[in-house]
Order: sequence, then C-alpha cells, then structure tokens
Amino acid sequence: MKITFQNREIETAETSVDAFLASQGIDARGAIVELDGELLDGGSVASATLREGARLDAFRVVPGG
Amino acid sequence: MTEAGGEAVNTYLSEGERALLERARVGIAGAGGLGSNCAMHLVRAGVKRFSIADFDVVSEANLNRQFYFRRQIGLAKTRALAENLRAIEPELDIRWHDGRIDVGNALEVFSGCDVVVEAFDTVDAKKMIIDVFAKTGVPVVAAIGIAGWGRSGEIGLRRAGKRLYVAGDCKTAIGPGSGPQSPRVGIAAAIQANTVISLILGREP
Repeated sequence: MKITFQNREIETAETSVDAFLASQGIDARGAIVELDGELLDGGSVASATLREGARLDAFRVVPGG
Repeated sequence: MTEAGGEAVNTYLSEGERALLERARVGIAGAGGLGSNCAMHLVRAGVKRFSIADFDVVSEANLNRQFYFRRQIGLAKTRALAENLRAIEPELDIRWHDGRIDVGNALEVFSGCDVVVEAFDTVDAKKMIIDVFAKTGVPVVAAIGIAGWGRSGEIGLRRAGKRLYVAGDCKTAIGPGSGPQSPRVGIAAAIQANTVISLILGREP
C-alpha cells in the first residue's frame, strides 16, 4: 500500500506502525509519532495500524534540556 | 497597576491580555536550561502562576546556560528559580516539587496547569511527560534538538497532533562536541515561552 511518511509518498507492505518505523530505523518508543494528525503515545503506537493513504510522521526524541 | 497595587512588569499589554496571562498556570517540567529561561520569559510577559518541578540542585556546570547565579550553587533549582523569578516580579504564585516526576505523579504535580512546558534533558523523561499529557486536554510545549552552536535558523516550532508543540531542530542531541550552550538553548526556551503565551492568549502559536 501507499502511505505518506514525512511528506514523501512511500510503498510499504508493513501494516503495523511499529514495524514500519523499525524498517525506517526509528524506534517508536523514543520518538514522537503522528498518524493522520493524531499524536500516538507510547502505548498506542504498538497497536496502531497503517491503511492505504495514511499520513505518518515521526521524529526521534534526542536528549538535551 | 497589578491587583496588589504594584506596577506591572509588562506595560505593553491590554487589560484583557494581562488578565489572561495572570490567570493562567504554567507547568515547568524541569528547571534547567530550557525551563529556567522559559519561565524567565513568561514572567517578563506577565504570567504569574507556575508549578515548577525539578529534583536537582544548581551546580557550576549549569551557569553556562541556566538562569542561575554563582551564589546559588547548591540550592534546589526550584527554590533558586523562584527567587530569581520573584526578583523580576515579586507577586508570583509558585508551587514547586523537588522530587522526580514520573507517570505516577505527573498529573498531580501539574494539576490545574493550563499548559505544561517540557524542559527535561533525558529522552525517557521527555517522552514520559509528552505521553502522560497526550491523554489529557492540556497542551505540552516541548523542546527537542537544542545542543551545539550555530544553525539558528534550524531551530523552529512544529506541531504534532492537536496539542503538542515542539521547539528545536528536532535532531541535534547533547553529546561529545555538542554540548548544551546558552544561545541555542535560549532560542528554544524563548520559542517555548512565545508558544505558551500564544496558547494562553488564544492565538496561533
């Protein structure tokens, strides 16, 4: 299926957000993840699924304060 | 004039704006480089009610970027920050929490806050406060990617979901050769404060 990830259209066979992000080298537990305009907290990411046309964005949380 | 009869710090506000800022309570989760400087900007803007949490004490290494002074080394950051904020505006309502914040106490420590500033330094603590408040209607203004020098234009503000705002470049971590320095930390803290003020005033951040 086709999804939009970080503003780029991408083809993926992954249906799990967690697995898709892992395939992109992003550990969802240490990232801010937004699916179709909704923020996914740590618990929601594990059960969230992708569908055709989904818009997914994610970026790593890095230390510093 | 303020309610108590003193002169307002920020004279560039309408009565309505002043009332909104004075009524709001802002949570400061971490009183380090981001939190201390963000709170300073908020007090200068007219915010008067804070809930500040930090378990640490002021150290010499903090003085390169945090809103503390050499004479305050060894003091709890919560108390030292309250003292410094009151040096700007004495009429502040400050609640403080000197312990660690975790999933079990975050909502209680920041109860009554209209917005929470995420100003922690570790990934786990940052994620924890974002995740805890994602389930509430309280906006969180976080900062991610503030280390090093230069690249001022890369430090911006992005929104994730409906109520999370993230200042920073979202990539530059603290690490060898990339320490937390006053200018970039200060830019991110100012963006956080500017965002908080916009939210309180009902404007687009």
